[in-house]
Amino acid sequence: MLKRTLLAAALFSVSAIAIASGGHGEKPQANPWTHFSLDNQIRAMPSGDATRGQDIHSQMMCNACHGEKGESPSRNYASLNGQPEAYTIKMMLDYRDGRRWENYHQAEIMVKISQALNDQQIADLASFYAQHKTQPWTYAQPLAAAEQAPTDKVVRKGDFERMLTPCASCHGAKGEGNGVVPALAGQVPEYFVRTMKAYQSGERHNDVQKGMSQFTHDLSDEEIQALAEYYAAMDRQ
Amino acid sequence: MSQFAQSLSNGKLGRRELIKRFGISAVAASGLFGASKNAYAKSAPHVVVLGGGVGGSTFAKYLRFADSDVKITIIEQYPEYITCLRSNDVIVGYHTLDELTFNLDTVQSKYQVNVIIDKAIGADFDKKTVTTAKGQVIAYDKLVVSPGIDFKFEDYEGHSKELAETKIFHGYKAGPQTLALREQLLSVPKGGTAIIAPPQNPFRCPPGPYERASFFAEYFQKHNPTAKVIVLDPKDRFTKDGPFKKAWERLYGYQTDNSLIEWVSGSDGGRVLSVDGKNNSVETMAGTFKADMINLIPNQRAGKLAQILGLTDASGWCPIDRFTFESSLQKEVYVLGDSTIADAMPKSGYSANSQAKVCAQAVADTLRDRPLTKSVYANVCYSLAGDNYGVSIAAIYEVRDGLIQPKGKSEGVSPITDKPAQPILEAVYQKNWQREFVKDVFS
Repeated sequence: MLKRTLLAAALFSVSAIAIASGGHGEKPQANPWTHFSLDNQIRAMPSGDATRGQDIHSQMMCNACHGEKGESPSRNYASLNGQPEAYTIKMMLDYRDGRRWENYHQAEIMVKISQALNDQQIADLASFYAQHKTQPWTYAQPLAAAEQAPTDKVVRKGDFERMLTPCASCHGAKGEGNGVVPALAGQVPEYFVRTMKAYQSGERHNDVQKGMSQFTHDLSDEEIQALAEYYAAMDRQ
Repeated sequence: MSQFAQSLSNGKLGRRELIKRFGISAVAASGLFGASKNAYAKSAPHVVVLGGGVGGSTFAKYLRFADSDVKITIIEQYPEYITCLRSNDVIVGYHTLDELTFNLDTVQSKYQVNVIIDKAIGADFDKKTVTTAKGQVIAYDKLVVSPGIDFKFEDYEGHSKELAETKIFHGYKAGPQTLALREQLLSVPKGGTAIIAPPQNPFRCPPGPYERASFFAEYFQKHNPTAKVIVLDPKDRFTKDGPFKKAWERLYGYQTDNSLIEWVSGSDGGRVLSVDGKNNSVETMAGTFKADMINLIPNQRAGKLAQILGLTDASGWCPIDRFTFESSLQKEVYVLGDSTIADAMPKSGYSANSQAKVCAQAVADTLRDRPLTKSVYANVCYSLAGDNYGVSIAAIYEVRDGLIQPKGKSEGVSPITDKPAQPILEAVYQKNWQREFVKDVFS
């Protein structure tokens, strides 16, 4: 029965979207978030159920790219396990409504998949991923000693000279994330770098009032790479 | 169109300019042009390609990859090429024709291919020359022909080329035909009827008519929900019919009283016998059908040029050597794409592209007296049963028992599953495939 409901829901929203758009991949127009509107939206979401979420994870073939529990088996895709519920919800809404529309083609798949889900299904998925803890990225290598100290400093102390707030002040001392702020511990380094670059270039701009992107402009490519590896290896246990 | 091609087609490019570009010996030999003596050895052979579509353009590019010391010329009638791929999308407004329009500029500049915008009208196989409409006579060492398809209007009483250009459009060569169908579709009155009549096998783009029927249904669902698509088919089966019909059930109420699509099979009398352009009706074994638009896709045969050159057999198609795509009727002449008899391979852009690569390797090896490599082909056809609903068929082909056949268990169509993500993902893959495919062909 659930499967049938899912299919009906998916097909319904497929046709609903088709009506709304004039051509393939036409971008929906959503207003940028304010803290206020985002707060309200997250609070208005139905509460999620992890068991249903697991079903959707399989039905919508999320597992094909994001692994059995959200741990990406590939360098191409993000890990979702251990993400706070609010963060997953926000990402799915951002894909669905055109706030995340990066021009690399993994995003294209996410746009289409999110448009086939309703709010309840999104909340269920978020609950499922939040249930599983982050784990160090399978292929993570410890940072070279020369890089470890300065990277650790940026993470824990920030850089006053460049007005860089410590990463940990939002993302947590163990990279565990908080609310709409994503967990970074164990994240796939390629995804981390791609994301930071997209924030730098402005291609990605779904952060609320440049809450993230403002910190990316002064970081060098080497620093971003080191941060990616630092977080990939992080074990929050 | 490149400046060079333009000046050539305008007849503005003088002999001096040609010599500068291609070297005097070749000009003397061909009467027109050849390769620059700086770039090519004196003995460099000249391969002439007739037709700059998917087959011809892919061939030229991949022959260049295979051999840097061969002169390559494409003779193409039109300065721009509009892909049939994704032209159904244009009918319902998901794409514009601009997005499907390509030219040979990149192939010309990046792969040193000489492009002549002119129409090939004949060949002398003994003298190994090609004649064009503008009177050029061009010598070749190997000739490659990729001429596409031609329509058999005579298979339908009352039908003609004129009628197909004014009222009963086929939309099976992308361009004005595509736009004409769009105009007709948008003009179907509330509660009206559109007829799509697919051809007999074999024909170009086997899923094309059924994707088109799906798109018409999707368009009606959004804009004219009491209108209806009737498919009048001479056949009882069509490619991917399983997943297509499942999609029609899921999306358009297929086989319910409110279905947006009705499919009349050959056994049920779906074959169109005659066309009445005045009354906008067709006669079939199952009776007369009147409609607000009739999209009759006629039965097909190899392109006109293949017929003129005598490369077709009694079937109307071009027999070829399965390993090299050299014509069985004419030595040193190769035929690619829709016009060939390629057995299990469908007449698709992907097939033409795959055949062109194998043929380019075979031509390069033959010119250098190298042994031929193994011939393996591939095809994938993605179709959309709706904007966000993809279905596909794929296979790898080898030559077995004298025929091109699917290799091992490589052949398959989209499975029908209860996972709603599957057709959505296939639709994404389809769009990605198209984007990358045209790059492989034209850039």
